[in-house]
Amino acid sequence: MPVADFRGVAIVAPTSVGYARYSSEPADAYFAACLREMLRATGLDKQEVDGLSASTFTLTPNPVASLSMSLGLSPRWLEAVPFGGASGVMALRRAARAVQSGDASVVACIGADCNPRDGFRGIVTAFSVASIDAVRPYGDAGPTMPFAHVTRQYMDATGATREDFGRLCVAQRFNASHCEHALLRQPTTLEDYLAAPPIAEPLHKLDLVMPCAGAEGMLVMTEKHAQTLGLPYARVRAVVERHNAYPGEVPVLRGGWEHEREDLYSQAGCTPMDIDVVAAYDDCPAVVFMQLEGLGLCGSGDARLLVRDHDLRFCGDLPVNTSGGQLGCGQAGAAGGFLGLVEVVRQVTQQAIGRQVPQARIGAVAGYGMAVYDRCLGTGVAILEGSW
Amino acid sequence: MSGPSPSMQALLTVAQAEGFALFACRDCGCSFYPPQSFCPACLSPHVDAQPDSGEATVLSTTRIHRSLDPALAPTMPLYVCSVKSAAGPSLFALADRPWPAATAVRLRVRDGLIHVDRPAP
Repeated sequence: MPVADFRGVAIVAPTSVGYARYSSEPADAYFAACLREMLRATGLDKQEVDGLSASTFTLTPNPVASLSMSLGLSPRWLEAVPFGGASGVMALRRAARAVQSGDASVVACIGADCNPRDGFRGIVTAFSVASIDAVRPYGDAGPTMPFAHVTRQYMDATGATREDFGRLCVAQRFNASHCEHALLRQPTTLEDYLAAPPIAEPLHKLDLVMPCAGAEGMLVMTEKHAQTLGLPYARVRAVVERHNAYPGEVPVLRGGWEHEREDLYSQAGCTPMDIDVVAAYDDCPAVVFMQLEGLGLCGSGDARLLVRDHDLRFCGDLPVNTSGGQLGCGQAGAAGGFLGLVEVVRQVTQQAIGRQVPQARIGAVAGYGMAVYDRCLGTGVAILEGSW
Repeated sequence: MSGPSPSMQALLTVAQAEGFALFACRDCGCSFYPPQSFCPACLSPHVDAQPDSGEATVLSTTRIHRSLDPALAPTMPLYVCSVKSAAGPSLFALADRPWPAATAVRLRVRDGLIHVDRPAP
């Protein structure tokens, strides 16, 4: 049975707030700040928001249900989307269907997390039973250890080098230098990248994201509603997701993006050649390379050639992670899973002030989340189109 | 929960006594790791830790320089291998050197941790 399209759905008010290395406020304060900013940007009254999609790691001990009370909402649709780096794409998919079906009129999709000192360690050391049993005892390096192996295996299989990864990281840091909420706004060089201290080889300091606090969000409503409000909006051309793609396959060289690619472009009615701007979840560069390949922007194993032959800066010919991604902005927990999506909404609605990709109309957003054991289990992709 | 799960404790107990062990399903024969209380293939609850040869092939080695646990700082750097066991599952194991990919090794459990012990004969 063919997948129903996402016609009539609009995304508005791409919002990033609260970025800070460490937080003094609890997670719900970041949800509140994000919602407050989205209401300000749209002119909506809070009670017009009748749907809420929440992604977070640090709201505990409060349940997501508590947000209706703390935010003073009475939503008729409320969902937790606990998929880490794939949360944004998956939240969008669910919210879009809620709006299409009439289950909700305006859904606030928010990823938010606080980061108290030592907070990151607290999250990753008890991330899953599998990680407690089979990852933490082997150096207690969090997801960095499994991703060091993913990176090494990817390098061995494809011939990608640290210089190739460095090209991506340097481009993203350049992009971050033009992004007002990025925490790492100082551009870096390939020499800096190569000289960075090792953390878990082959991963070095500039391959890895800096944990921080922050929130990312957007509102999902009907196109008609967005037009009535006079807001710039993005249409949803396609969204796919796949969990535990290629289970147990080693080495880990691909994810659900490849698995779902045919369906993705069939839904979207376009090809990889039509993509103007790309966001890929960047918990380490090799994973971005896999997503570029999974999106069909190059052949399997050929992302190293792609980054050698193209300029990945927002002003380049293949703009990738134009806000700087997590490598430039920091990793605000589950908000990191929204960061790319929110930025692509900005880009295709021509609101990326100071780093706008000229004439960006179609954007692809890939997500990758939840490193339960040796890889992330959740993958998703959305293709968006600006309404202009 | 901060220590090993009951399933992992069972695996380590058998592995300590037998040299090595993996969880396997009594109904469909599937071997799997990390351990859990049911089979991921057929969902049978009839799973337990069974002696295993420990034969495996190295996929990659990382040298860890920074741990999230300050108490581990004196043990750094630390070699950790990703290996694929002959029985099927892939595992992480401590190593005393950077074993190259494709090296045939044998896994052993010591002090509650899986080690890459030596190349298989």
